[in-house]
Amino acid sequence: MWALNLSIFDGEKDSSIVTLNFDGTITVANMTTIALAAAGAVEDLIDGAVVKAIISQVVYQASSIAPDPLSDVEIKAKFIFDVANTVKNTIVSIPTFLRSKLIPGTHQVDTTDTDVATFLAFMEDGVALLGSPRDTENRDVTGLISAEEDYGRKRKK
Amino acid sequence: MAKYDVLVTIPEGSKAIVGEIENTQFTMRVVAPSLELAQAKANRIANSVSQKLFDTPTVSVTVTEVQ
Repeated sequence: MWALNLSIFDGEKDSSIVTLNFDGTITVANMTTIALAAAGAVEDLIDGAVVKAIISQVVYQASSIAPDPLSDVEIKAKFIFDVANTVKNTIVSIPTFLRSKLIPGTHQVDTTDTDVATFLAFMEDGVALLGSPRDTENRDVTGLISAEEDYGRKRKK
Repeated sequence: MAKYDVLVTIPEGSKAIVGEIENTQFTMRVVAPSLELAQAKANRIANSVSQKLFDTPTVSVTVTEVQ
């Protein structure tokens, strides 16, 4: 299954994503065309702008996994990473972040925690021989600059 | 903290929504203060991978300290 993500920007440069799903047998070339058509179909409904379209293939969907009933996507940790060959950083925000992974009494993520350290290693090393995370311009993530809790506007608790 | 390579092995023929999993083995890194904790983390990764696949196959892990 393909997920077509249309990034819609508003006048303050905030963005939100509209996701449309398509059959997985459609080729990349045809999905590209569909993405163009989708923007054409959406733009006359909005006063923002469809700036970007990303197609992604749904690789797994484990609907039977139950999140903690008290989890909240607005409770996040924001990780800022250094990127090769640029002064720009790249940011990864993890929703439903466990507060137990923060240094007690602070807003800082405990990077000595095994689970946090493993995530950081994944961001730098990825999967051996297959690939590792990059920024939006395909530059290598090289190291952590900062990691701290970050609440969304609609936090439930 | 020490670095460990975790070799994750997925049974041949395992499938997800995308179809049959082609890479039945892959290696990722775990960072932990001890081999015991690295093994525990690796086991959690194995469980996570298994849950994403149809019929939750048994996924195995082998942990090796990176020298």
